[in-house]
Amino acid sequence: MDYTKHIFAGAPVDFEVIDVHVHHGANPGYYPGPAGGDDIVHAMGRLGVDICCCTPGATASDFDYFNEQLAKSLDKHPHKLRGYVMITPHDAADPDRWFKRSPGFIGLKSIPFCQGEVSIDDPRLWDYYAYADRRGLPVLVHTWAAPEVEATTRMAEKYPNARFIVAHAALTGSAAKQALIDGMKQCENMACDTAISDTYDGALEWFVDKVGADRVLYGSDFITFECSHILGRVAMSKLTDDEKEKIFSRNARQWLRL
Amino acid sequence: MRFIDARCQLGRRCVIRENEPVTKAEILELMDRCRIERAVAYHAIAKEGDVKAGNMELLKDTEGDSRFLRQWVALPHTFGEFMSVEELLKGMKENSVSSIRMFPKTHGYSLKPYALGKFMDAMAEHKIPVFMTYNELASEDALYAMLTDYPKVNFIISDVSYREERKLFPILEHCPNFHIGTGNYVVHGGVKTMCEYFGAERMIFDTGLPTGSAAAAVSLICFAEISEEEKTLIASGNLERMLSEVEL
Amino acid sequence: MRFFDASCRLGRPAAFGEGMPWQTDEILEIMARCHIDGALAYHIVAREGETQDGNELLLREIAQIPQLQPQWCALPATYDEFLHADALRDAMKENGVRTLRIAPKSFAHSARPYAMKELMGFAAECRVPVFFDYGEAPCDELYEICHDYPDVSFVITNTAYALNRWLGPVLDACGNLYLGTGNYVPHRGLETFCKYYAADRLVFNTNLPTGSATAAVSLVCFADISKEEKELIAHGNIERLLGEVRL
Repeated sequence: MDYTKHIFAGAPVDFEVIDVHVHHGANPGYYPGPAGGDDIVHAMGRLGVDICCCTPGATASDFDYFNEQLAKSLDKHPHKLRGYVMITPHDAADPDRWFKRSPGFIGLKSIPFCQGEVSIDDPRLWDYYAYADRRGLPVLVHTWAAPEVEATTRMAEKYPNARFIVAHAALTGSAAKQALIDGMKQCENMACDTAISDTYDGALEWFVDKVGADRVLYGSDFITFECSHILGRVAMSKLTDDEKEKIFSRNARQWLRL
Repeated sequence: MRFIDARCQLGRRCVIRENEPVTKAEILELMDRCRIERAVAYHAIAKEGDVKAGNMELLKDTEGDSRFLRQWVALPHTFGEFMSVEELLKGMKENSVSSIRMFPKTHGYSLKPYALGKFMDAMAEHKIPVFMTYNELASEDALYAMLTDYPKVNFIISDVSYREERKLFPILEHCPNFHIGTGNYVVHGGVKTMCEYFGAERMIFDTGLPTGSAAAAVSLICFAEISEEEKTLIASGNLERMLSEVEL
Repeated sequence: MRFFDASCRLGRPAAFGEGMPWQTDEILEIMARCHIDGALAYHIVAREGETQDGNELLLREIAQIPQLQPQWCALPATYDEFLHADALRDAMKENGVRTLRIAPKSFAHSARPYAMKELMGFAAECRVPVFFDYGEAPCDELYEICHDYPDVSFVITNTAYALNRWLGPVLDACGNLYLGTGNYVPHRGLETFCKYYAADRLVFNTNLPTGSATAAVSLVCFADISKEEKELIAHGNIERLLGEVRL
């Protein structure tokens, strides 16, 4: 597969792409561009992305509002979009109602650091992780630094049937990367994504060399920022075609049971 | 004495501390308990999420509710992401929105005339007061620059706390368009000192509900060593006057 | 489509990420992989150490590499630590240098006219484009620098995705500001930029080695803009700017 040729064509790619980390809805801190479900689907069409798994809002101040906005988009685009239910340490809500609200919801999103600097393994979140554990659901976890990765590892150990996707840390700082490598070696139910706005060529190759490609999932963090550059960064990396195919879709199909 | 709160946030927000009020009913209960007649309110989603959507949520949440005076959050019209000035004024008039709140730090934009000149000209022309919290400004110098860049706009700056007096005094002296929200303005004897040096007209009662304490804010005014007339101005008179001057 | 990278960096950095390419042949390999025909390059020593020495190192490093063209780092000639305007012009002409890079915060000097008048006057007179990372003059400082020197073409690199509300008013007010596309990744950023400001003000760059060339190329390829606009961004605009230099 000539991945480079696909990128240079600037047209929808004809290899399967499942993006496990997409944001739905505006981010208050800056002009985000068009941010709703229709806009995500439009961008998917331009790039040839097959499925996007969306998390509500940025940090979802009012998670009920943002979960509902996402639910509407999931209903409207059932073949293109999937969703994570935003959870929060500040409310012991039952996520079940969202899974009943829309069949497009497939997992949970945990971003407690942005919800008052709460730790990922805070006991207020355990019921949510237990829910994911009972149902074998993926949990997309926002991480950045090593302590957050380590907290995720503890939760992955505690809830072995939940499938944790560690966002960002594979491509942030050295300590976070190492913590993630250790965590993924320790816990089979930990994966990671490729979402980061800016990193160097070679970073992903280095990480895959350490942990293999089987639990690395393509994620772009779109619409926080653009996604076309992330597509190219993976497609034109020095990874093998088999590794790229795994990262772009095979792993996600398995991990998210799509 | 009537209290009208110049700063209240409706809507569910991202961070909620233990037992902090969240719902409109809980906020109204506190307002009743603290005898706050009405409150100028903006929506949490407008600050923390989607500004335009949050402003619309505010309209829904305050539909037919005379206890809340509507306040919209504004952004610059950069890349067309927010209403133009003309659209904003029209929307404010149609929806009985009488003031604007801005979050330049949270929302990431410049306050300088090259960026906001046209917007602030409109605020001045229509006598629309602009509200901000102090921590949305980079420094006291940035506050001074803003006040002097737009001398005809009335700014209400709140959540000033008790350590800024030395920085703010000269700004209050030089900038008559600078008003302080009293919620959390808890300098020892601060309200009295402000009245002595600058007049009660420069203070506007606010609480910062639901994250600020309404009871504390009310108590601060009640116990201030100032005249009843000054208390009345601060508690409601100044804000009512300012809002009545708005021309849309 | 041809790509010309308006800004990349050579030389060993003080700290670099795991697996990060930094050697010149690694940079060239990535350029080849990404179909980038050529690049303007500056040297890390000029940026993080001795400016004049670093500029000389750069010339030696790229002497036999025609794809790489030199970009010099510059600072005011305080205490004669850098070249004054006339000497700078001669040296740039002799060595085929057509762009400069400044770093007022990192180099600890003011960007205001009382400090940079001579250097910027030279850049304006000789139509030398001046590059700097956004972090060197962020927010209102960006406006000040563009406004203070209206006849200098400034190219800012290393922006990010969250700056549009800051950048927009400066782009409106200052026609001499150009944006390097490397890491300019707001959602639909290039498309929106072209709609409001035109493709003429975008300049393809990678920020190699800390930035990703594969990402930078992909960003332009997939941008929902015309082929002509892509060509302008990918190489046309920087070629025009370089063609206008008069040393």
